[in-house]
Amino acid sequence: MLWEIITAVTLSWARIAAAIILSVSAALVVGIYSGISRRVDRIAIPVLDVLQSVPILGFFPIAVYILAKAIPSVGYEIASIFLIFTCTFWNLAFGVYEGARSIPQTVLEVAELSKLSHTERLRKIYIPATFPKVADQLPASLANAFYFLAASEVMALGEAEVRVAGIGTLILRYQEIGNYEGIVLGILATALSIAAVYLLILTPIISYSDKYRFDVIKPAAGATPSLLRGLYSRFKSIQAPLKVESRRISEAAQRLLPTQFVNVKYMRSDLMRLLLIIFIVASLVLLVPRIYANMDDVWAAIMSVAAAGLRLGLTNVGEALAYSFLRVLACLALMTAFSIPLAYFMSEKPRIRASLLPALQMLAAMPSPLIFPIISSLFEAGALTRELGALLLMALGSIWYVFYSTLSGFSRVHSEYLELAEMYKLSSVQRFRYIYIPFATPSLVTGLITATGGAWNTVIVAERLGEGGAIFEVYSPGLGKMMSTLAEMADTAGLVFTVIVMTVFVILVNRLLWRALYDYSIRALRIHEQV
Amino acid sequence: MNKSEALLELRDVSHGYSLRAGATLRVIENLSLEVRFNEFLGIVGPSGCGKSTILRIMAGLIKPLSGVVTFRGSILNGTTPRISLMHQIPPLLPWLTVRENIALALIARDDLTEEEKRLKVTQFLELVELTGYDSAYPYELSGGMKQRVALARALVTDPDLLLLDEPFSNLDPLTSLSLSREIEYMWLESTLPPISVVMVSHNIEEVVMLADRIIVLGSRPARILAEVPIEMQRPRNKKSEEFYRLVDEVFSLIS
Ligand SMILES: Nc1ncnc2c1ncn2[C@@H]1O[C@H](COP(=O)(O)OP(=O)(O)OP(=O)(O)O)[C@@H](O)[C@H]1O
Ligand SMILES: [Mg+2]
Repeated sequence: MLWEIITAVTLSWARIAAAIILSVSAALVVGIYSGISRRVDRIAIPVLDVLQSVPILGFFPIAVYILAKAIPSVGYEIASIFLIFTCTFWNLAFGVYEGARSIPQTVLEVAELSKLSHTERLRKIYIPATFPKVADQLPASLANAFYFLAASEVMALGEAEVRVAGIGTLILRYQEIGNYEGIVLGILATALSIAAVYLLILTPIISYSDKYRFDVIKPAAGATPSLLRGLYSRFKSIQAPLKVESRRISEAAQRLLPTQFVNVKYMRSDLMRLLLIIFIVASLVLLVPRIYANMDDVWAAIMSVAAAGLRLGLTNVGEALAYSFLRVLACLALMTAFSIPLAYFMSEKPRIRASLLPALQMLAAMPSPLIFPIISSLFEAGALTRELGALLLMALGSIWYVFYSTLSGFSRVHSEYLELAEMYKLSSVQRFRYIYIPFATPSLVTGLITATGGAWNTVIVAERLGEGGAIFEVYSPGLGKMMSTLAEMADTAGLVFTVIVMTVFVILVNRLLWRALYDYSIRALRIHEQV
Repeated sequence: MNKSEALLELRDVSHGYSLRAGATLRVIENLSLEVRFNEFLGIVGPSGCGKSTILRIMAGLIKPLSGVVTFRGSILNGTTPRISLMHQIPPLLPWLTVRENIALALIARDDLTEEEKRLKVTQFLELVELTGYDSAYPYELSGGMKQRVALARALVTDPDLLLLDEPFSNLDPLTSLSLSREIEYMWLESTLPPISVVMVSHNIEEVVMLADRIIVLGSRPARILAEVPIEMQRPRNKKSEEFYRLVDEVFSLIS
């Protein structure tokens, strides 16, 4: 059994590693180009918004189907990696985007003046400047990958269910056969492996990334008590070879990064426009005859979806949407209320931070099946706790986006501002209000944007939870509950209608509320005009 | 002059920073110096020798690894509103107006009413000739104006000791001349803070222009190479022979 567990953990890690490497590369490309160019920004960010808001659980079966058909041997593996990718990519992409957008104007001007080519700019400015963001977001991505591990290793294909080998499915199997010893061992092995990766890989990456920060809190050196200092330097000497190793890895990574692939000319607007036109023309040429040939079918499909909308009742759908929106908002409030005080506390107490972070990381990475029993007991207890259970489930899926983004925002506070606070004896509250919060607002908003997407995605599961045959649902209406009921009744038209409603609504809220808030905070705080 | 006349005193102070590799960088080694009452003390030395570190220690921002700092006869433990530091690159908060940036220094004071605070800020805005810029944001100001905002913020708390870290390094000669006149005026004027000033600068002419006494530091770890008293009459004439001689003397001590 031990051997079985170790193999499973290794397999899961291999998939997660592949997904994360993919996520980081894609996030760098997308985030940086959206950050640099208003034109790409205008296209890529809405596309990201849409993709992030489409309920993954909705289009996942389609992807699996296509992949399994195309490459039968490894199709499921790729599908699984793809699903992990969808839980690790967004926060990285938005983090990089935010990093690229908050590079000080002076640095960009220097690049302009020294006539750096696009490739040089990427290598010398954008990638190094956004690297800290990647480092900050990696823990959240990792946590999320584990949280959804079981979901990403189980694939439903019509009636059939395919499970790829991994620790998520193994624990699931142990749960089914009631092998509690196995469950405990599996969790322990997972936790241990996470702790090891955190200490040996993530910590060096994060501390290495400090080199690339424009503003860092410098550790109050010399103030360390001598015993601790002794221990610390011993720890450092153990870490030194690791540091070299991690530097070599990251140098290799820099060489490997697809800077060559992203062709310089891609940025040229005329070429870009040409490509876009070719793309549109090609798709029209390919699609129009088909659509025309099947016009009746297409028409019928549209009609049936519209009919489904009428059948469900627009007020019913609207009401469900409103309830779900309230849940999402409450969930965001919950996440903010948790993240800000904790992140603030940890930034004020760097030593506690150092020991608390790995523990939090392990907590964050607890795969979701492990907390299902707690949630379902909440669901059993009554109406109010049922709402709480749903909120908790939604929050746990994306709270780490908010937390790590806030922490990363707080770590941007320049040490001289803190000295100022110390000199004028600002209280914690004043320090928080005048220094920390303004500095962290852009990151906080980024975290909230990502978390909103995550919360909408989990609404489907959270409002109607299946656990060991029993089904629990919230008493009040909800769009997620509606969708999951429709899916169960195989009402495709109704499902499509609700998916469209949800997607359109989420995009509208993102555009009208979050983006506006983000731009406003950047402007109001004069982040670009930093003195 | 006897010992009790020192406003602030460093005795056998040593400090270092721990580097990433685990080693310690010795920045200051057994440094002793005093800042006297009503004194304008200049500190010069090569770049990176530890001048900013010394000012931070004097401000109570850094506790030295060993040695004692006394202020008005008692041991300095942490920061006090009686000592103000003006940073090398003054950290103004981009989201606060000029007035709010200056008022930040008084925000934690509960011995003043809001009205008193407002009046004080107005007074110092006037003194640094920024009346009318109350509601401007830092990015709308020139380098010299930012420096004056920082000066007003450092003085609005009525400090006894003002620590200046290269106050003229980012300024053009004309602006730095007017700023140095302002600093000298506030220090000479007995009704205004501060009592004593410590100024770190690369610009030897400026230091000779302002200081009563100049301490010349050697390269890291910082030690005192020489002490040059400047007993010229004020206001000093930059074109006088004595001035040239003093500037030359300090120059030759550094290089
Ligand atoms: N927080 C810190 N951590 C590690 N090393 C530091 C830190 N602050 C300063 N140092 C190092 O200590 C030395 C002295 O720094 P300091 O800023 O006091 O020099 P300085 O004399 O003010 O230089 P400059 O004239 O360039 O302003 C430098 O070598 C610097 O690299
Ligand atoms: Mg300095």
